[in-house]
Amino acid sequence: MNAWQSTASRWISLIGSQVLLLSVAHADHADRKWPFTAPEAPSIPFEVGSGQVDNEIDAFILKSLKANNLSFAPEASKRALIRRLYYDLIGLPPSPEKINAFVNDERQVAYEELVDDLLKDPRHGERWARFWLDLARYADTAGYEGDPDLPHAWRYRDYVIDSINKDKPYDQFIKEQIAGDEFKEIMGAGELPLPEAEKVVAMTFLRLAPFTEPRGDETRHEMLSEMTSTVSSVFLGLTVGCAKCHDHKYDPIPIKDFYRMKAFFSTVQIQPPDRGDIYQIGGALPADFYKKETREWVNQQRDRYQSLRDEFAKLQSELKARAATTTSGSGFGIQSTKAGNDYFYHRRNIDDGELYLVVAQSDGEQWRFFVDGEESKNPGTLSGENRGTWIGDLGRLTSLSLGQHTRGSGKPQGVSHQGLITDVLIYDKQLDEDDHKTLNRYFQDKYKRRSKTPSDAFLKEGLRFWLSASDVDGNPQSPNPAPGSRIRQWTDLVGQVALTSATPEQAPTLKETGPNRHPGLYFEDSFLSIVNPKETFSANQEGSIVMILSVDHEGEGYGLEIAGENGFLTTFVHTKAGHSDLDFEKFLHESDTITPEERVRYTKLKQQTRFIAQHLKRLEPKAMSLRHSFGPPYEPGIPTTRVMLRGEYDNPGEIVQAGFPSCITGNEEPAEIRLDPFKRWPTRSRRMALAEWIASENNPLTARVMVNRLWFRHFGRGFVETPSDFGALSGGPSHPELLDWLALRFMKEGWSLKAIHKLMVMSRTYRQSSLVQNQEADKIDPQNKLLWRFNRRRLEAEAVRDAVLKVSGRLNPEVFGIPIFPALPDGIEDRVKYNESKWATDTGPDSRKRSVYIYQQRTLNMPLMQNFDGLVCEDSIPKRQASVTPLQALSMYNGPLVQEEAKHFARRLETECPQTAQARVDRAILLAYGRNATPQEIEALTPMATTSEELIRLCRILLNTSEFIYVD
Amino acid sequence: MSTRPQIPLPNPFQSRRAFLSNTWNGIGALGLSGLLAHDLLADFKRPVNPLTPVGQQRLKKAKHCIFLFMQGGVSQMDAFEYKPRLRELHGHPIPETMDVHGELQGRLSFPHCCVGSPFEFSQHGESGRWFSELFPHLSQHADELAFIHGIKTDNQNHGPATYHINTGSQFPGHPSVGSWIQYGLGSQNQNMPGYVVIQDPRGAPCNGAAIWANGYLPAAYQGTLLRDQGSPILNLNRPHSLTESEQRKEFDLIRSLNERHLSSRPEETALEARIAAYELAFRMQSAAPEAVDLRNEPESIRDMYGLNDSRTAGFGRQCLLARRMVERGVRYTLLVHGVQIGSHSWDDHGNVEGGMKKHSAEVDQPVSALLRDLAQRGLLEETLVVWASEMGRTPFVNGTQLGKTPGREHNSYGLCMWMAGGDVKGGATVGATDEYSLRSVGDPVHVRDVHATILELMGLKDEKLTYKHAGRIRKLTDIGGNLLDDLIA
Repeated sequence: MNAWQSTASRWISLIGSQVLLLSVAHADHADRKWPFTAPEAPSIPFEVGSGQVDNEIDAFILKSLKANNLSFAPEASKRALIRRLYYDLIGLPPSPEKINAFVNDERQVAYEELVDDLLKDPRHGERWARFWLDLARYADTAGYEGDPDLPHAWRYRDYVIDSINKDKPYDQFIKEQIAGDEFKEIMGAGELPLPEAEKVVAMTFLRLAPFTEPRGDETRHEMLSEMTSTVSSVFLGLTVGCAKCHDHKYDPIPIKDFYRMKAFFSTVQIQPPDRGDIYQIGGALPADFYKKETREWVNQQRDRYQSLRDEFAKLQSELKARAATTTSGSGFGIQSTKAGNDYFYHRRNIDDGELYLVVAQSDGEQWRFFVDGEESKNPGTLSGENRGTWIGDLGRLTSLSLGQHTRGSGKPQGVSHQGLITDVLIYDKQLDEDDHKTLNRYFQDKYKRRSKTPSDAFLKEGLRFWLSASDVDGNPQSPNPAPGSRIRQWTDLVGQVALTSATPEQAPTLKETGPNRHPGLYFEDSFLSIVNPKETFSANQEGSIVMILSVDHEGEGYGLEIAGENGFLTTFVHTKAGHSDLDFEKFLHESDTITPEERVRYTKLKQQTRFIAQHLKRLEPKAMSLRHSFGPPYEPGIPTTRVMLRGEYDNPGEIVQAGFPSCITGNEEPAEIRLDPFKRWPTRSRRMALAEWIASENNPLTARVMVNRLWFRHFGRGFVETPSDFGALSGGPSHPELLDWLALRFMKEGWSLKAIHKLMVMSRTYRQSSLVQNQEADKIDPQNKLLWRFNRRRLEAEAVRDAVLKVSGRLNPEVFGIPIFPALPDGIEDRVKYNESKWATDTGPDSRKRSVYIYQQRTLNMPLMQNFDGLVCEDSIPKRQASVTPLQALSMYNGPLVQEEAKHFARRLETECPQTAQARVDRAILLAYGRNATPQEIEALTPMATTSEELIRLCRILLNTSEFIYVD
Repeated sequence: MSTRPQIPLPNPFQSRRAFLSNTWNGIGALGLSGLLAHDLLADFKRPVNPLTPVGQQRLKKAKHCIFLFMQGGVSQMDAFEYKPRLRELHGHPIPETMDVHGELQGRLSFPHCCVGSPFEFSQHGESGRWFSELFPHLSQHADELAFIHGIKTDNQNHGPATYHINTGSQFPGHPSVGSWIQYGLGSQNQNMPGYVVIQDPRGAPCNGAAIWANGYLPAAYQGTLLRDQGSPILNLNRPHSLTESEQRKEFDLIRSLNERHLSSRPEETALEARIAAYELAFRMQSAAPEAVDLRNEPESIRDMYGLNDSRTAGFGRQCLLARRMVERGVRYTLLVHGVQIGSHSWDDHGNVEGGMKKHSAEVDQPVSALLRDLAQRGLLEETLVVWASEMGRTPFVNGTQLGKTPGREHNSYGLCMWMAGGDVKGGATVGATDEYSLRSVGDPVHVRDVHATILELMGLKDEKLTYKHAGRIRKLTDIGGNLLDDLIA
């Protein structure tokens, strides 16, 4: 801001205050009560520095303690204090080094220096931004059906973190969020000045409500009403929103005042939806990356994504070239109501017209595949969960067929095998290594080498079914038909099960094959079958299927099908494998020509590149913001605002003008809205009028509401227990004088939040022990409303996750940036997806950034966060629960985060304390609890710290204890 | 801090010892003045342990509720509302009707033409209730069901309407019906969550898990999704490297560390609740897999629920699981049929005949089986069964052409629901739609009336089941609902 602007804005706020003073004077009715009366400077009950109290806060607290025959608890230990301060101010545990340094620093100023350091720490903004984001109902998606992404919402999250770290004056912070586009004063004709990028980002605040498929006037009514309610409850602690449908039931807020407030927002303009925005959530506004570091970071990210894309494309083309050389696969599939559906492939080229020996065998749990005696290293599966438990689960067999797919019906349905089949064998056992050798020798001798005819008694043990082209009628005594004959019946040599063709056209032709000219049946749209066969193999859970065949077909072709009352099993050969994209993926996972490293690299790159388009969108210099309309003649002027009876969008009542709540001003006068001298922009300055009035020292609520919020976060309970409602239902403040004193001090400090933080945490009140050491006090005030001790608290969801990562040594300290997507348990992102998942799972270092950066998807809260009462906000959340549920135990004990981090925690202990188990226990306790281990703990836990495996268990145990997530 | 009493730490991995507060229930008595109490109004307080069972506010038979939610908007005039007049108007616009306003006004002013139901209707039971031919099984229960017609929902889009039916508000962020009931009554079960959700195996409903979320109520009241793949509850499987007894030892050590931590902080009731929560979690690890294991269900039961037919197997399994949940004392079970997008949703814009045939065939037999099975086990009396969708459908298709496969639009005035079990008066009817099934004749029943009635049937009072949040006293029904007395026995 240049000097001129700065003078101008001061001048304006001066005028603003005078207007306000006038209205306050006018409103000075006798019946106005707290909180609508201005804070008054109370006298300080005890002299600061006299020894009884450390600062003014203590004086007021002590006054109410004394009135109830109570006194301060002793100061907490230094270890408790540093842990408390760390979690409170930056949301992370102190390192052992910091603890020791602080404990050993006996200087008076050590505590104050620690406070100053932590308030300067950039992690302070990350911690305290989260509370503001709760109030701002921040999320990265719009919610409702489809839950569309809000790609630029993160800019606002970073804006809040940055503002807190910069200690941006709170009045400025308010004005930026409500009226960031109306800062620049217009003193003459000329262009409408462009708002600064930072202030455009700030106004995202007004657009964060959930949004769904718009319905014209109704949606606009709801949207502006929501802005009215949220602005009122967040900044004023007034539930003006309750007066949307009728006069407020408890507070002096008539329905008219709701609509008078709403009228400030009447010229809000939202960008029309981008092309392709099927959810019609509306567009973003240009907003440059206003910090140099962010610009650099964004460029790096863009480069990184580009090189990832390049790398992926390169690898993909390499592997595709290799895939092109692989043309077929043999496999087995099953569809069964009991065993589930599944398909397995063994990727081998067997479509060159040569004969191959293929085997599939199962132990009832697991399939294995062999071609010419060589086992598939990566038997892949395409779908389903069946892994080989089918034999015997098919139930009574209903048909047995050869040559075409029947889908369990027993009727030919095309997708024929084309090629020779010489042998089909079924064993009731798995083949071992020797069996495979024997079989392969039989195969080679009979069909591949010029040699003596092998014995057909090669492997009879466990053989339950054998179709042999060398003996198609199953009777060794009778001669085999001549080459060229149509074979209408093929009979099994073991049980005389006969497969027949219904028509002569469906019968395969007998041909001779191989150097020894042995017979094989040539299938070409052929089909042999038997209904309700009397066989002897289907009751088993173990078994092997062997086929000797050649393949001439293009595409899929089906061989043997065994259909039972619960489903069917089929063998097939797919020669198109490796050609289509889908097949390429199969090829990749199953082919022996791809190394495991390549496979991992491909999968990882694919995952990383899948969401790049969305990430690049996030990196555009835009904000999900809004602006005032240009007004006539370009855009509509100021619409008439009316009371909407019963809150219904189509039920208009009386016309109202923009005005402040009468419970504060005491009147229903319209607010003064200062237009530019030429009135060229009549739609401008409405929100700024509201923002100036809220962010004014004369507003009786604004400062009180904010200091109460800070007090609530530091002490676990607000003076007013409902931080977003100072109305009648709040029950009033517990310490009205202290609240007023703090509010006045806050404004005197130039609305500096850090000044108030410091004041609060420096107080003796804050530094008290949380232990109940005074049983009498516990009887007088069991809920500790008077603060005779410190309130112990459970960590919030974000702090739980951050603490786990900090203790394991793996927290990524990088600040700011687009949302992160830590792995979710069991792929739950796919269970809530609409068209496709938005969750760009990343297991790299980005996923270990602090929890404030986690993608806030309204239809998908991370279970760990949810279980610890962390919400993906739908509306403004003034305070969270601290509930206890068994799901917390499950997610902390069994869930992926602790499982993984316990290992790293243990590794860290081994690295840092290689010498003794005792040292590792002591270190573990120090890291997790911020204190040294007791002798009993050393004694009891040291036996658990000797081996790596035990140490992991110990770490998991510590992360699951109460002391880890409760702060004294 | 220095005065902390020294408590000897039990030797780790010693055998499990007796623990006073061994059960999740046992600690309830301590907590009346505890953590949550200050958030509540004087007229409804519950123990600090959020799941401790609380007595009903008034005595009702139902102890459990099964909520059958049909995603997409079931066409009421093709299912449960017999409208011969509509068939006569097939292909013609709806005649001028009086006082059509709101969303429907816009719809009717647009060229439209009526679609008569392609299905045959017949009367069933002593009550003579009409059912379409699509529900041959459910219609056998005609005299057990009480119907509500012409329910008005606040919004005609799927997202908000799905919220409305499941949470009482069309806006996100509110606790679901099951959360309220769980909050009001606590859990009866020592080893399972009190509020279980079984979604369609084909995918999630609109708004995802937000429709069974706890909203501003404590996390303990969220619905727990029973998954159909992997472990039935998320994070239920212990780490692979551990046996059950090894894990038990770890839990024992966690407990002794926690007890030690608690011993110098006895006033912190949440710490004790936390110890109990770990014990419940441990028990859930074996109880939940047993609860969803259908292998020992006899073939007759499997057939009855349609598990052996691919059309009914999905919802049949959900219904059978719901019965098992009731048997195990689960308070509230939400079953979702249909997914938020595509042909598996009841959102039949394009072909209401084909769509209704498909969806009804998937649920008719399973729902009937559930009612019959509950009844034969004497459980229907203590179980309230509710059938719902998020909206009804219009009697017309937009546009003057019927097309080959006419569909129906959303209708926020025509939702039809039914209830059975508990104190529901079988055969009763509340509300009625006009001869086109377009909207209610007379004042429509509002969703909040239905919710108030559900609470009433569960022994809770709508006006007493309150929670203070963000400056307002919250209720499931917001401004309060009118009881539908005619369907309460």
